[in-house]
Amino acid sequence: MNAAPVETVDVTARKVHQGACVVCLAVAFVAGSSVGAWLVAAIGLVLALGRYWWPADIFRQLTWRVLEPAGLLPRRDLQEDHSTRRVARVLGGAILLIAALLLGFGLGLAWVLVAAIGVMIALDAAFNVCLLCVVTYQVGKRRMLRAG
Amino acid sequence: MLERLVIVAIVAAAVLAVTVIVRLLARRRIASAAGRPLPAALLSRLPGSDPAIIYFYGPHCGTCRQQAGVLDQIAADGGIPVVRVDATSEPAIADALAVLTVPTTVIVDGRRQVRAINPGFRSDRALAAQLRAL
Repeated sequence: MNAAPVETVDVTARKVHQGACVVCLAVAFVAGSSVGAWLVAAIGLVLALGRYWWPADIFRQLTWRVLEPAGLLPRRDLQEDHSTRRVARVLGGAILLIAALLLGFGLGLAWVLVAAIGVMIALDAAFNVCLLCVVTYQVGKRRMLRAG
Repeated sequence: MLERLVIVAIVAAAVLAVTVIVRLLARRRIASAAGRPLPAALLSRLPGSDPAIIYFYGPHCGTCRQQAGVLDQIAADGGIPVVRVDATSEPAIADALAVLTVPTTVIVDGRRQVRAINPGFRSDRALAAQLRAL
């Protein structure tokens, strides 16, 4: 297994970004499908586009340009894994954009997709739990045991 | 709208409850594995009688590459031996040490007792603190 260079990241900015995404998704659901679909699409864009184009990463920009300089939140630089989070972010963004499209066509069941992404983000923000990592490992292990 | 607010509150409460229960169960499982002697298959791979780190990884795990970087740094700076185990190809060893996800790092003392099991990525600072506490 090849080792990757260790990254140090601002954990405060990550948590603000994740918290804001979860709150916006909850507000979108409460607002209903017509308004909510736009908000879900906006968060989908922040996730997917913000990964590659920093001006779209608005919650992190808010943290770095406003909240931390004003002393409202302290910057916390820690070693963290961001490779998996970057993949999850793009996947989550894509799923939210699809969900927004489905909501636009009046398919209320798409809220289940929005809820799944919201729960995963909330778990990572609150408990640093990578649900996708646990599921991937457990599924891989079971497949291996069955094959053996 | 009130109806939807109630649904959001119920979902949030359910997720919180499930998370707390799962974490408690995982902590109990880890606590029961910690303090136990190591499986024989691992003992032979540990060099000398110094504290060591056992590192469980998966071949397709992105986080594991980051964790490997941290462990390389610890091994180079502190001379701590790191034993690498592919958890997917050696599931019996992984299960014996309550590995729930990859990466997982296990801290072992000089008497080859398990002292800590860390599911998920751990920084060099966190691992160094655990090694200092031995």
